[in-house]
Amino acid sequence: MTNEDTAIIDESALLAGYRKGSDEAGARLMERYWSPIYRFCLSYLSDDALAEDVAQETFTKLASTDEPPSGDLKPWLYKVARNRCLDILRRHERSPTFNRPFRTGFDAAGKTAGPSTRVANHERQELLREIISAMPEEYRSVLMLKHIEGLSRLQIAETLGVSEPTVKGRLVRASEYLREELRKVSGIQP
Amino acid sequence: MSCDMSRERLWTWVQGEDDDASSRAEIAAHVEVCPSCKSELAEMRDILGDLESVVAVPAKAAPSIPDHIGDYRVVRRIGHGGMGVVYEAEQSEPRRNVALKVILGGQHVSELQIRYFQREVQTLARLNHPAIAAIYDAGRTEDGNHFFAMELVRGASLMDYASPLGIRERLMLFRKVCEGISYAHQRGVLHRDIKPSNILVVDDASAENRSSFTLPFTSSATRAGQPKILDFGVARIMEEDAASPTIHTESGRLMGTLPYMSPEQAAGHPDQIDVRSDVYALGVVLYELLTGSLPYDVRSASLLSAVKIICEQQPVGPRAVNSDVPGDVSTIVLKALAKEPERRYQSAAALADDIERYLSGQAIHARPASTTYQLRKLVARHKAVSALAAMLLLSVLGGGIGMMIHANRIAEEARKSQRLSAVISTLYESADPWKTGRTDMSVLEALDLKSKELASELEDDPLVAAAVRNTIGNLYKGLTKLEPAELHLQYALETRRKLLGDDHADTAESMNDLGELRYEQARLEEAETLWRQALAVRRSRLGDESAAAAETLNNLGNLLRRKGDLDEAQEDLEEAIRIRRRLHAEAQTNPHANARQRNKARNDVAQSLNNLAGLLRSRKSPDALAQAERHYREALRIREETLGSQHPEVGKMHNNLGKLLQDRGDYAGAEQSFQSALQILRGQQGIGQNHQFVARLLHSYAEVKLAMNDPAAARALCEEALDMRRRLLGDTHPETIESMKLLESITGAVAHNRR
Repeated sequence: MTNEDTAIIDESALLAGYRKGSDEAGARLMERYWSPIYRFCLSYLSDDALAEDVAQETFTKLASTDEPPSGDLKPWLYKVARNRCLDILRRHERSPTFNRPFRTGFDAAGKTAGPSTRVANHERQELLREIISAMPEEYRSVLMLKHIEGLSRLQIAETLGVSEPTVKGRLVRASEYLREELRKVSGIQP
Repeated sequence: MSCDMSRERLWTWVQGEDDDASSRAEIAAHVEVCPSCKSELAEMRDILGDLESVVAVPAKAAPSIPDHIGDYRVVRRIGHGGMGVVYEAEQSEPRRNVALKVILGGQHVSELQIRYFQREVQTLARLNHPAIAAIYDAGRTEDGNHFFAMELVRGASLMDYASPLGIRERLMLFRKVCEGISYAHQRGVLHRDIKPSNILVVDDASAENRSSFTLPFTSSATRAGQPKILDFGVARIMEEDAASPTIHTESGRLMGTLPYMSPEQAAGHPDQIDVRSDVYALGVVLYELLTGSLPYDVRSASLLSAVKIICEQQPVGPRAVNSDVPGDVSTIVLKALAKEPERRYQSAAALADDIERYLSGQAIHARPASTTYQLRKLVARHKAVSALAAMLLLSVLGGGIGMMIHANRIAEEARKSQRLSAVISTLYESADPWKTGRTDMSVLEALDLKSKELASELEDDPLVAAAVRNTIGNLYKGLTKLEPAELHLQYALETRRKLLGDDHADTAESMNDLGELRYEQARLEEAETLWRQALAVRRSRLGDESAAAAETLNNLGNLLRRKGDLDEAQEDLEEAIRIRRRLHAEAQTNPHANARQRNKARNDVAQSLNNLAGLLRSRKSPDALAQAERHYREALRIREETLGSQHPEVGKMHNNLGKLLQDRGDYAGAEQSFQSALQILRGQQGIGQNHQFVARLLHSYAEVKLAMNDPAAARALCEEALDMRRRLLGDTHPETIESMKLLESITGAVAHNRR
């Protein structure tokens, strides 16, 4: 039995406990997933309170749904959170390509670089932030789930409801899009 | 890339997505020796590295949830807003789950927030209605936070719930919201923050049986829902406010959510906020419910420009956004959204009532804003139009271009008093020779000049252009300049048809007016088609008993009479008279009607009486002629009383009565009437010597004199008629020939007398 399998069994037990009202099980699940789900929602909504609410709703739904996840919990949580975020954005007529300032907690200055490098890095990261803000959601979701949330290809496929080859192809296209846009807007030749 | 390695393979490899071990080894070996790929790879790694640092968000723990608040065991957090956090909690006695609303920040909350909170408690405690979430309890937490327990609403947000519903079901749902708000209004409670997120909907049947909180993730299929209005947090109790001036001051700040704010609320006038402010917010909610969008997009606007938009911009009709929205429903929404509170529904109950009327197939009370009202609103925004209209008026009234130097002053006056609608309608009356007794060519010249300018000025606003050109067309029609009249009236009708559809009161107005032109042009079939269409639309949009429907009925009756269909014509005219008598009686007793409106209502009766009398005259039977005489005499009396004894319309009535008396063989009576008519009409500038009508009058008078065996007088009258007809109509016109023949008879009679 691999560690991953153990984690899933562990999760299944936690989930069962959580759905029966166990505070301890709920606390352990929250400890594990609340922060990533909140962060994921924040990247969509750029609004702390709203992101918190959607994260909360996602866990509430986990407790009350008639169709709880039977296997891996992670894709289920991301899928529910993403759908809800997209729903909110649609309702608010916000562009699904995120034409708004991309909200992160990132401090643009590098930790060790000197002043001039910091400026260059800062500009480049600002550009990148703008490109990500304007990126089609299907590219952005796959990059987020892969590189920020650390999901496997299978988990991403389950989250997005597509096949693994689709995820693989989309990752390449999204990365290429990022590279092309970065070149286009900055002329930077790394 | 100078080598064969594709960037796709490199991206896949660098992101750890290459599943083939030999491929991975191949790429790893290749990039070691290929400078180009090495460089590509470095760029890719930089990008991915940056991506992680740009998107990374510091970890944040889940908000802690207290075990208990007061005597309640907290189950989970439901959400939070500006005022506090909301939890689902269990109450032990009575055993039930409740929503607990806690003001965040403990003892540090402002006094204002606490006052709001306490007010919310007091307010909600007084309300007990199925559409309002009930309050159970209030208190303070251990750390000094205020909380209250309220009905836990197991429902979806209004918009989520409504998404699978049709227009009709949405209206039924919305009507229940209005009922809840109306109930609160009747108890002196305003909501002041009505918006979709403050309205949840529960399934009627299943609400009580479900044990868990239902989140708005999914929308149910079509069903009956019970809305629950939440968050009376900013509502005020009106009678309390009256005794609390400080609250007035504090509530002057912008509360609630901007897109749903009434103009008076957005402009920060708390003293002007009343039930009609909630009616406005309901209008915005209904707009959003029907179209999926807001009447104005103020979300990205600055506060100042948002307030300006809310206070000044006219919303696009919901029907223009979603063509599934019926015209009547669009009218209802726009009435609720009127800028001025007095033009809105005066209560949520009145709004609910009109929706109910629509749902049950009855005529709604709301009316589309009239053309003149829309004109006034639009002109207030397009000052240039106002100036042009004032100049047009001046040209018409003053009859000279020289007077235009005062245009600015007049325009300023017009702007100040927002009376352009009156200006435009006065224009019409001013230019109609039958109303003023003047046919001044300078009026025509000014009209020709200004109508072109107006038309081009209004190019970007086709509906206003249509309204103005409809008026101008009528002006030309009144001046018997049928060609330009046709141009403007046709434009107005086509534009309105295209933008408003056939089934609209303004389109019907243009149909009616173009019909009048066709009638003048003796294109009777076209006139009949237009009038029948106009009548149907006016009846359905404005009511069977409306003044507009009576106007078209009157026209149609006249036309049918001319076609010889006397029975239907008589029916229509009698119906028009009945409606107009009723409208006149209403105007007499309506304290808001002014003298002009009362006179107009009375003159409308006279017009239809005159037409019916004309019809009865053509029936020729003694009874019909006797009836006709009564109608003529009543019409004459009305005209004299309302217009004065020297008005050209009175002259016309004398003439008509004279013709009838001539038919009845009462030549002395006829002569008296013709003389009165001539005396009035000869005194009218532009009519007396130069009008087809006067020629007809002279011709008839000549006939009477001949019948009275006074061929000399008859001859003088007939020669004058013939001379006028030759000049106006030419030698070959039937009326000219008619006078020639009469002159022959008179000459014959003179010869006979001599013999």
